[in-house]
Amino acid sequence: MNSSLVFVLALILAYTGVFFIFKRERLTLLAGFEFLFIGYILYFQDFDASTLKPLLYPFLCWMGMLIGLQMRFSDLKKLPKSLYTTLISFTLLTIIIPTGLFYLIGFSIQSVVMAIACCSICYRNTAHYITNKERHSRFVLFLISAIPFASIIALLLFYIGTDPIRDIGITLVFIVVSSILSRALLTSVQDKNSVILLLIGLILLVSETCAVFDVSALVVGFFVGIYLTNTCIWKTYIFRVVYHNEKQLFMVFLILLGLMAGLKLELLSAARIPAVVLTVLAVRYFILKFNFIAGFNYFYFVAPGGFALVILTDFWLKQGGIPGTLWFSEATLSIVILQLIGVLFSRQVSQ
Amino acid sequence: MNKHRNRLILLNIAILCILFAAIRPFQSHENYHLISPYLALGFLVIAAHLGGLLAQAFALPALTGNLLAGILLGPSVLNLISLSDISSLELINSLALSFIAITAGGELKLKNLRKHATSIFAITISHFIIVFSTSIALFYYIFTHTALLSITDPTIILSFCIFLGIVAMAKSPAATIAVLNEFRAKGPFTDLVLGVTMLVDVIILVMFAIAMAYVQSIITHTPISLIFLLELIGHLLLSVGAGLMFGYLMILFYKYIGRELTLFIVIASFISHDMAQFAGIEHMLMCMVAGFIVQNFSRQGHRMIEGIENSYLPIYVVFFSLAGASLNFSHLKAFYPAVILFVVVRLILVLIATYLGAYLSKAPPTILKYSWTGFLTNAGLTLSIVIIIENTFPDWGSILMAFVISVIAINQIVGPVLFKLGLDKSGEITRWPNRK
Repeated sequence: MNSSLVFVLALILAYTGVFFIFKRERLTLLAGFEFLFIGYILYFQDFDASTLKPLLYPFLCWMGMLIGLQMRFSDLKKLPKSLYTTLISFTLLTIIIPTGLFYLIGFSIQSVVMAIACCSICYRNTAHYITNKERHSRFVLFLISAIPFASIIALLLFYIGTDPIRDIGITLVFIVVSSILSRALLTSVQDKNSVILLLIGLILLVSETCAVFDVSALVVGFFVGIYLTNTCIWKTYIFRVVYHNEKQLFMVFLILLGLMAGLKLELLSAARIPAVVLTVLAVRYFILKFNFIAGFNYFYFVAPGGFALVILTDFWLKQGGIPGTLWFSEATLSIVILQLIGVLFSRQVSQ
Repeated sequence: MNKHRNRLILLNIAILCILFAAIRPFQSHENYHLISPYLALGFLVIAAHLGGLLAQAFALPALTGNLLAGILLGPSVLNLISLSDISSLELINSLALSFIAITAGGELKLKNLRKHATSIFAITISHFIIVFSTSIALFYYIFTHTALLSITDPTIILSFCIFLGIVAMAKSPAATIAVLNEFRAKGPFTDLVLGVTMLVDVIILVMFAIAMAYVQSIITHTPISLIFLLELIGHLLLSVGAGLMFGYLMILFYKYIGRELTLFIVIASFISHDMAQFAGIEHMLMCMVAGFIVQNFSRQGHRMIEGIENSYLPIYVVFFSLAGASLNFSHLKAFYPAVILFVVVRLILVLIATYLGAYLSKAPPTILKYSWTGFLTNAGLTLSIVIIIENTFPDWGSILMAFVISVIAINQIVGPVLFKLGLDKSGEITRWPNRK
């Protein structure tokens, strides 16, 4: 089996599977994470998939852009201050406390990224159960959808902390150049087909350049998205294009991730994975209990969602993206288990 | 306003090239060979599309801009897109060819073809008699009486000229379809050009197989066997059969699933290419038959066209810019008198043959006047043919390959421009990409 055939297979699986995963009545147990296991199955087949690895960068850039495009300053100004206060306090607590605990479990520098990843909440699962239109419900859902913004900024701060010269200097240059270039290109065209084509080209160009310089494609994509949504005449259409087929493309990403990252477990993992899961469950319980959980079941907020894997992948790729990295396998499986617990118990408590 | 926009596009291309040239030296990363083609692809997509927009601003087809951008960025000029990038992106080329063949089959509507059947057959036959035969005779005479080529053996010159005759007759379905799609051309001229191009494409496959057998027989002094002819017929029938099957599978998809039409057509192109390679059949013919079946033997033709219209732009931009980047102009220096002579003679022969065929079949005046403009470009199929020749007869095949690549380079630039002019004059353009 050659790598291009695998990619096409991933596309077919994602586009057909998505209808079964996201049925309106109820989500499947892993809410899409099943595709990661398809990737794992392919990983254990005998073929060289390394040519597909560069495809992970455009996916990260696309996801960063998707989040950045939602940050329109004119809309953000209208939001209540309480939302920002809750968001910042929630993010800080869900990052700082687990970081320490993960460090104690035995992870080194990765504990920060794992904590940032575990800070996100699966919007799709929560929105599936919180269906009323009350003000508090809308506040909670909005807050959950805003967590990725805070997570990316936390990730950038972490990168700056670990390698200040590279991540302040090079990343800043990248963000400025990519943003200005993207806007200049997109404003020079007059039809929608050209916008789509230029977006494809830009995502490929920016993300692969990030790969060459070891800069985070997710962070750069995020800031390019912010710049475009606040300055470009095509902002609404760009968002529609980037958002189009979001689920399907994410499923392709999961298959490729499983295939590229692979799975490696050791005896130690048997203890570390449950410890990570229990840490996240406990920390989240206390934080939610004292913050904004009132009125909703705790399990609605347990599943971390796909964005957690995106954060992990970005760091894993920055570290060289070596297949079968132990910490990455453990972190990924912990997130999958948390997703399973979240979806399963949400379903049970809602019945 | 338009001047300002064109300047802005030019400035963007220049900045993009400078940035890309600045990034390239830093690619000492361990993933260099993996990342490089995708990076180049992103750059090529943007630069070639902007090139296409500039070409449209000067009333030229977008594909001319894509090709010129490819030539400029490719190894022949700026070398921003390297030869290894081009070969890594080969798969996209194959996918694009399948896509173009499905599109070509899908654009052939039986109802319209019936109306012009006489003209299509008459022009095809006159091309065979005039373009193919005259090219062989004329160039055999020229090459045996002058020193334009570095070949002296008359048998080899004859073999060389037989293949040149095929090249002279070959058309480019890809360029034809790209221009027709861009201007959404509709009418008798469009139907006729499409019909002749597709028919000639199939005939070229047969002619090439026979020519190969004949040339091998005159060089090795062994007669052509009957088994060879039977094998050839079997091979073509198998390709048509595979196309029928593939077409019916596509119909089933459109009928019972009917979603993600854009993605489906791209995946179908990819699968058909892999399938054909696996079974050793003519994938262009197979895809053309499949597209033709969906369009004419089901009610799903509009769905297929919808998918094609949504996805053709990126495919054409990549295909034609890669085609431009892979053109090697260094050969032109060695053979330019012979190449220019061949291009001019071919143009005159195509004009005469088309006019004669159209006149004898009593075609409408627009066809009589302008249809020759649609038969000048040659590309993909011609290139595949010379690659096979070079592999089979390496000593003189390499000269033929260098010669034909130079011919393609000129025809690819001139052909689409003339075709667009012909469409414009015949009044069959229904959409002007750069006009509101």
